[in-house]
Amino acid sequence: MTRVAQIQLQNVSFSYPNTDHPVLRDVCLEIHSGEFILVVGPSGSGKSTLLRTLNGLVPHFSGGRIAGQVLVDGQNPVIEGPHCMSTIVGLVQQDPEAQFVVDTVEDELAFGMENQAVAPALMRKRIEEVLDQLSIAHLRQRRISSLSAGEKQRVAIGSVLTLQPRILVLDEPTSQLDPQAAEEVLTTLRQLNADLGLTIILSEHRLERVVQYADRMVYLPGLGENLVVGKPEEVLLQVPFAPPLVQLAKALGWRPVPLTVKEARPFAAQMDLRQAEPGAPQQAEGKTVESPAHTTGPAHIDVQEIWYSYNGTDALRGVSLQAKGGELIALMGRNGSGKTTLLKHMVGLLHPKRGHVVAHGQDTRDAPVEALIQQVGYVPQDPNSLLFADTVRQEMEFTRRAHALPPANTDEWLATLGLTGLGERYPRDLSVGERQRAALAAILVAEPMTLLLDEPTRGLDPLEKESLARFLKAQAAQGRAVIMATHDVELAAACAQRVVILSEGQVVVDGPAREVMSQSLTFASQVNKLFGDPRLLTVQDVLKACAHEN
Amino acid sequence: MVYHTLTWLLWLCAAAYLALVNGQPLQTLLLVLATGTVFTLASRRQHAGQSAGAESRSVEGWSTFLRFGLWVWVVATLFNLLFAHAGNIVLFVLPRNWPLVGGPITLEGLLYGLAHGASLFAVLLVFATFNLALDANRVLRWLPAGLFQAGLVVSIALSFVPQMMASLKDVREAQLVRGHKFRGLRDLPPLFVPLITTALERSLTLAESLEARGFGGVSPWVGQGKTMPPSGRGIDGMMDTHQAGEQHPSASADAGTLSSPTGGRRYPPGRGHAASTAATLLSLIGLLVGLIWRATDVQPPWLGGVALALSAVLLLVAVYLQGRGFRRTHYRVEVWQPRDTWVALACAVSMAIVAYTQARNSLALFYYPYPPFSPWPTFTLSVGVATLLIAAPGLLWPAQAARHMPEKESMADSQDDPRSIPQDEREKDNL
Repeated sequence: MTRVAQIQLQNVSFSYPNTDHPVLRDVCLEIHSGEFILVVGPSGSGKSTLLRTLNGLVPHFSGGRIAGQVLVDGQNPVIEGPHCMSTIVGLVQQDPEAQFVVDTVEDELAFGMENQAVAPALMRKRIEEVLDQLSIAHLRQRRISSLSAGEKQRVAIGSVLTLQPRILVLDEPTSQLDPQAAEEVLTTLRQLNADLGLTIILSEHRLERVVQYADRMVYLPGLGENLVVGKPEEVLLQVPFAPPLVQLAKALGWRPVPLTVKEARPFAAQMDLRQAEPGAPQQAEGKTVESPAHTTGPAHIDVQEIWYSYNGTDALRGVSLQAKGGELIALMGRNGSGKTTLLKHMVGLLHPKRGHVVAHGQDTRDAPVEALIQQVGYVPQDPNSLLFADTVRQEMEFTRRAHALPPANTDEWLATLGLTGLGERYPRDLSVGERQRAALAAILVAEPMTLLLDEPTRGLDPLEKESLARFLKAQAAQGRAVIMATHDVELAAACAQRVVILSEGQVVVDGPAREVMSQSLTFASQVNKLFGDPRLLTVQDVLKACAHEN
Repeated sequence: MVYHTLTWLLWLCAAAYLALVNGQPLQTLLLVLATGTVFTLASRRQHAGQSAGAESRSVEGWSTFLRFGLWVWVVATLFNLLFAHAGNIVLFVLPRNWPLVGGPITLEGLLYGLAHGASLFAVLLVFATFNLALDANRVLRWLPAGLFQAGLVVSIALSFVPQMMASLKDVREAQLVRGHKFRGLRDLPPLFVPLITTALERSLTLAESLEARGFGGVSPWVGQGKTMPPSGRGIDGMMDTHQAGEQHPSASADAGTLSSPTGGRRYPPGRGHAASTAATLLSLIGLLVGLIWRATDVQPPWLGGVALALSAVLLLVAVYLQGRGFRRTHYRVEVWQPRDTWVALACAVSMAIVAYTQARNSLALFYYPYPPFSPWPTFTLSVGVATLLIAAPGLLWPAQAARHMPEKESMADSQDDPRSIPQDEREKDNL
């Protein structure tokens, strides 16, 4: 290609104020007009920083030292500043809640143009166009607070599109969304890229959803190491992050690397795992030993036919659920299906209108919260609402004191959670994944026998997710009951023994993970979609089956 | 948006005026009922636009705010009851040797506490209703251009109130299940540190989003002959003029330390800016002098008044000068409807009655139960009428907006739009 790149970064280095080590070091990158670029890397590796250099927020908003040359569409954002760049580069952020200025959809779309003093007639025309492009015309009169998360994120995209930028930069736009909403947003991006030729630069953790749309992929290893740039198939082979399919391809030598289930089908068809059949039942039996029917002992949590409603809307309608020690249960279902409400009932934050919740032999309605939390630990969705102390260690010590427990060996807990060396750090400075684990540490240090987690994988990168899955498995193995509300199919496939699917406040399915996840369309893991075999949910399952075959 | 912004502003003036000057508890009670009606209608309209099950954080937030207001009422009453021992009608006597609370507990103390708390609650209710019924950003349109940014900051700050209330609930739950108990000031940090840091992080995100959408500066074509790009690919046209206008050396800004936003042409340079700065400074000094003059009884007293008036005028000039540099357009054009006229009239009449009463018969608004005054509250008919007029927005509330039917509502709203197009065009011609 001889044409001049739309975006050119030459030897760009950047460090934030009051730090010595650079976040970006000698970054060189060229992006052509109309490309779909996927930016990946561990949390804290500088993805957001890289994206923000493109519109001048770094260094104009962040402060800090920048060196090297940035050229975006012939402009230098370091000189021009974000205000000038706003008509060239549109930025969409992670949290759909926090980026809105006004409160109705149309006004929000108009806000940027009003600032640029665009003529009202032109404004009207562009808003109509954007509403149609993003298929949000039916939302135009709505209040933003009444939109679903996916709709909000599309409105956020619309609000920058009205300025008609030629580059759209999105910083983990789906990390706070459930799978359906994430799909909505990603579909929109694909259309914008294909139909309008908009350059899209997207950072994202859910590789399995986007990797097939990307023209090129940029991997930021962090710690100032060099970028890996190239076609997704090539980059994925070189980096530790990979969706399940690519992991399989790596292990089994499938070339070219399949990025979609469809592309992987021919490879899977060649593998004759049927031969593993005689061995499989053993393996399946091995698994069922842990399954609920065989777990002995009294239930830690016993939810009996509970009903609950918020302002007249039924949130739970006759839900029953038992959790025993050693069980790891994934609570799945759409947004608003009652997952969080159910978890809050288990720890006594909410009391059922009808029915009973018995936690460790105590009815939550009679027992005070102080008594319940000795046995039940609850990690809320947002770790930020938990963390307040100056160091991670103080967070843990606070919990011990609050539970009137003697001081414990915090180092041990830090080590099990992979937080060794971070004990003296300020919790809010940690990466999302570390923060999540710090919150976990703050709850676990009280040694509850039942652990409730609400969306523990929000914003985690794939490696952090893996380590969380391992950790939760270990907790269950120690006899704790672990119940997590999650949207993350791959996480549930990796660690849950039992899956409970809620819909509209009712339990729709409750059964062993293998059974539930292989009979479902939405809740099947990528590997399961590929093989269509209830024994095979994860990459490990397939590899084990292969090993058995040989 | 049921009524015109100006109508709501007028309503706010009338309701707040009455809430602030009236001390008579019976009248306050009536005001609370009248405003409460409007609040309920406004919150119902909020719900109407939402899908079932979606959380209505805004309504929830303001309702929490009002519950807090009720607590203020209760606490104010108890406080006055226990600590004010004046009055003739003694209900019972607490042992004298009890610190502070010991002594006669009087009916007057109770009544005064109740009346005072009610007044506070009424003010909070008026404030909450106004915020719920009117989007703050619509008020902003009516601000002079120079105050727009400051106004936006205030409106964003206000929108943080319900958000913080909702986030306080999350934090409280999270800390509760962690064993946190609230016993005293020592236990505040676990609640407030997460609350404040979350709000700060949110505001940083918002600031970035504002910055990235070109807020806070003049549009790039100011100073380029104010040529609007032709329709269609407007940006192309704009960028052309822009590039032709000033070519920046594309040399790298080598390791330039930028600790604050120092982007090139963010504010309009030149005389206008300097003049407005000077005018602002002068007017502020004038205001200060005027206030000190009045406070210290220096002769002649009228000179202080003159200083105040002059500086106020100067301040307006400064705001005007400041505003000239800003170019903004407005997307929405509101339509004044017959019902706006009626509500505005009602509010004006209400204000007139209160003002008249305040001037002629101020005792009708004044309440002090302790001797030598009578402890029994009075009720003046004219003030009662003025209070009832505050409920006018509720009476003329269009039926379809109150119903729980989003489609109807959006139809009603979109009817406004075609009518506003001609005005849009007129504005374009002006440009």
